[in-house]
Amino acid sequence: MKPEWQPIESSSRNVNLFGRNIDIVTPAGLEDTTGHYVSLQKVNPKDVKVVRKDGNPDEAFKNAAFILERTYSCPFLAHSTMEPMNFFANVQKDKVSLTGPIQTPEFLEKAVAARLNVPLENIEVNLTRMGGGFGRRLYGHFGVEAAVISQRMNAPIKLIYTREDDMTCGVYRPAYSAVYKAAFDKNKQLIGFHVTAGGIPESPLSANRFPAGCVDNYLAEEWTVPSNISVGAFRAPRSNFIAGAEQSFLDEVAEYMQVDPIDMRISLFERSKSKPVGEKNDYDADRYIGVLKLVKEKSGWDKPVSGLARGVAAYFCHDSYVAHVIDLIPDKTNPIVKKVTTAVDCGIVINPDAATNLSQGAVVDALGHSMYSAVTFEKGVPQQSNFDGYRLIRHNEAPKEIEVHFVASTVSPTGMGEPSGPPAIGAYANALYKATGKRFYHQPFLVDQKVPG
Amino acid sequence: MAGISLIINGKSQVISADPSTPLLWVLRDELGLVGTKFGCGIASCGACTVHVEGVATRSCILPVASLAGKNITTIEGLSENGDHPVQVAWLENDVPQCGYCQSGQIMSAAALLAQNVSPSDEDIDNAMMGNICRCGTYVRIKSAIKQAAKK
Ligand code: FES
Ligand code: FES
Repeated sequence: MKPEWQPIESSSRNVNLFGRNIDIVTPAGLEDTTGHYVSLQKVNPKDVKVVRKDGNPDEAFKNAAFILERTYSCPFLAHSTMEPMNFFANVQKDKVSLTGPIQTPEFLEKAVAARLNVPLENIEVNLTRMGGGFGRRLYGHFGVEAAVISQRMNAPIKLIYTREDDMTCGVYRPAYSAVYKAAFDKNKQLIGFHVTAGGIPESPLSANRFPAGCVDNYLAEEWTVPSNISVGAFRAPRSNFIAGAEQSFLDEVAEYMQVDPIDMRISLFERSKSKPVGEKNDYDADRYIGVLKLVKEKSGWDKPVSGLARGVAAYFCHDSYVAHVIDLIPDKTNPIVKKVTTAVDCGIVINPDAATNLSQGAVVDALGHSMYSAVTFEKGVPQQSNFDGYRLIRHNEAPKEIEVHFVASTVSPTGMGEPSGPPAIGAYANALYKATGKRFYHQPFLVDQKVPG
Repeated sequence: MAGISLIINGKSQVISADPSTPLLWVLRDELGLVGTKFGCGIASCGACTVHVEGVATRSCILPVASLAGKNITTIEGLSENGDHPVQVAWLENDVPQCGYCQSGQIMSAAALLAQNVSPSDEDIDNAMMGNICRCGTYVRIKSAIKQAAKK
């Protein structure tokens, strides 16, 4: 069967997204990746909004003895949950019974009530055990679809997406891009910091996160490019790109300043404690310092092992703090991740073994996507439809060892499934630089490798 | 037309499905053996792995017509009480996260250890690289396989 879709008209709507009111514009027309790259590179200055400004960044950049500028990007990603979307539906005259794996049962109930025009109390949603969702099962359209089919057929039905359906009818991780600039005085001191980030169709920026509050002259700007590609939450939304970009850039900042990258971060955090710049700084400097010191100690940072290339990164998202040191075995074409040393501050750790497992999984998952994965579009159609064309990380490519340490804490427990992923990409890019002599700015980093059968 | 006769988990079963049906869907839809999972349908993810005459095989692309009289083991038949050394090692290492890929992972690992009692890291990679885990449990799978190998 060859499905055909009606062309859509341009539209715009206002939505409340976790308390933020935003206008979403959906343009008509068929999009492709070539066009997406052009729009990521040529952002109209009119579309750029200042989100945060401290001090006088214009002055700082005008007076700078040296300006470092780097651009980072990442592609759309498909969720690729191992369990494809599926649902059971039995729509009867005055009872609608729905059973399946979903992250948002209440939303599904309301959506089916509206779609079938039946009262809410006639709908029953039963949850099954659920294969990982990673955000994909927040969007319950497959449950609505099952209900519509059951109603039309007047029979109980089970809908299972093929992998091809699942991958080509996704709610993708948006494509993002960010330009970072740092201004230095003649003594190689950091005097200004400027980030401009955006994406298709949303921005990945969190303007009040580090290094906001640590630099006198700071400017954060964002932009978006409207798109009709369906997008949604993907494990550690937005952080899954911006953490890697920011942490790679800071590695180059430290390199230019000729200081140790861990010491440089710690001294910036110390600065934000003693003399914070601006307001609403969205992190706890002590907890950041805590994971950096722990990862420094546990990785033996001060005693580098000869023959290994190391990179470090730290990030705060989903209410937890994580730092990684990644050790690679240098190789121009196929560097192997020998070891990841991880320090986590997620408050009180309830189940250390499960928390360690989640942290290890998030590292593998984030590294894998940054190495290999991308969805591209041609005339609106995703060009990858199964694991032969869309590459996920496999056993032989995973880190050989991931050692996780927790900061002892009395703070109430915070996020665990997501925070270990985003900084792993930065630590990996920084280690790749040490291993290959080349900086990696654009994901997926290892695209030219072939897909195993 | 007489159905095809398969030997599944030691028991002979006559199948009514069309002979071109992949074994995966016969197991799941006709026999109710739902421990074997669907992930891709093109032998690229390993979620559907079973043993055919002891060899790890992707059931999603295997027409039942090709299996008459063959011994097939699914996750349900790997051990009587879930105590195959690989299953025990999986529990001790707390391997699974969402669990969806894990029966396929366990079947691949059990087939490897049946042929190779002390696999190297490389042997493990080669035997397991057809099994994808989106939750990223690879590091623990490797530890569990090594632990099971010692038994
Ligand atoms: S479902 Fe058979 S290998 Fe993926
Ligand atoms: S445990 Fe979730 S896909 Fe492997």
